[in-house]
Amino acid sequence: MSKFDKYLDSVVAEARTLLDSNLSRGKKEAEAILETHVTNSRDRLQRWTRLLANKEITESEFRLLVNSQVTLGKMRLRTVRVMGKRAALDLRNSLRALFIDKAFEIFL
Amino acid sequence: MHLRFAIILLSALACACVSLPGYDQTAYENATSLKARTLALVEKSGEDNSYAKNEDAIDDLQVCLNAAFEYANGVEHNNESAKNWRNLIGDEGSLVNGWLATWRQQKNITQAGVTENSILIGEAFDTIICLEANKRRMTSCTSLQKTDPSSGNSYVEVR
Repeated sequence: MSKFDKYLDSVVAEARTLLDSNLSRGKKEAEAILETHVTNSRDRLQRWTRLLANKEITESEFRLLVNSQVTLGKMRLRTVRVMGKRAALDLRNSLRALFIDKAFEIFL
Repeated sequence: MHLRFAIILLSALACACVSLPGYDQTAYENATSLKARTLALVEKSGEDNSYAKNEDAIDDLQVCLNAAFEYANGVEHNNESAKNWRNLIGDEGSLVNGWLATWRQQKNITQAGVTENSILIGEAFDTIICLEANKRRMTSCTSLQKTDPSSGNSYVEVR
């Protein structure tokens, strides 16, 4: 086995691990944020409807709360998008370091 | 097979054209300090005829919020952050200006309305703070993963 083959084998093996860990971490955290938003939206809508029926909030407040919850969802999607970019940049930096470190380790 | 995978990796490295502005301490501090000031005013909106009594504080807060938005909007590649600030304070459809418009119209907000607005506006600031923190490094932002206590679901803590 040539040194270059050995280099490629070790880079590929570690790159697969990096890919799995980086992407799954970002995915897990993004999912947790969005799932919580969906759960909260359902529970809040029920609570606000009850408050409106009991006249504990006004119609204007009810409309404001529903609109705000929808807007909050848009804001969270953007934050999750930035988390995805962060994961991609971390992966790029890790891969770059891996290619260079392995070259020094095997060829020198 | 390995060679193909390595070529794909190298290509990914070469054209990784993801743009993300650097972490900005000023933007982070703007969001955390304005969150506290805004929530303090939300609490006051439940008092009788409170809009008229707090007009100076409202004007002052709006100036500071607009300055924070202009700051975020002026940073290159900062679209997501600037759009989140716009959703928070942009127009009457935004969280803060929507609450202020309702407060002005009704003269005060109901107690239940104060509690609910406080949760939503607090979470909107947390969303902006989480976005800023993730520019520096991947952060799970546990404050965005908490379900309402009244829902009966346990709080989700990641990590």
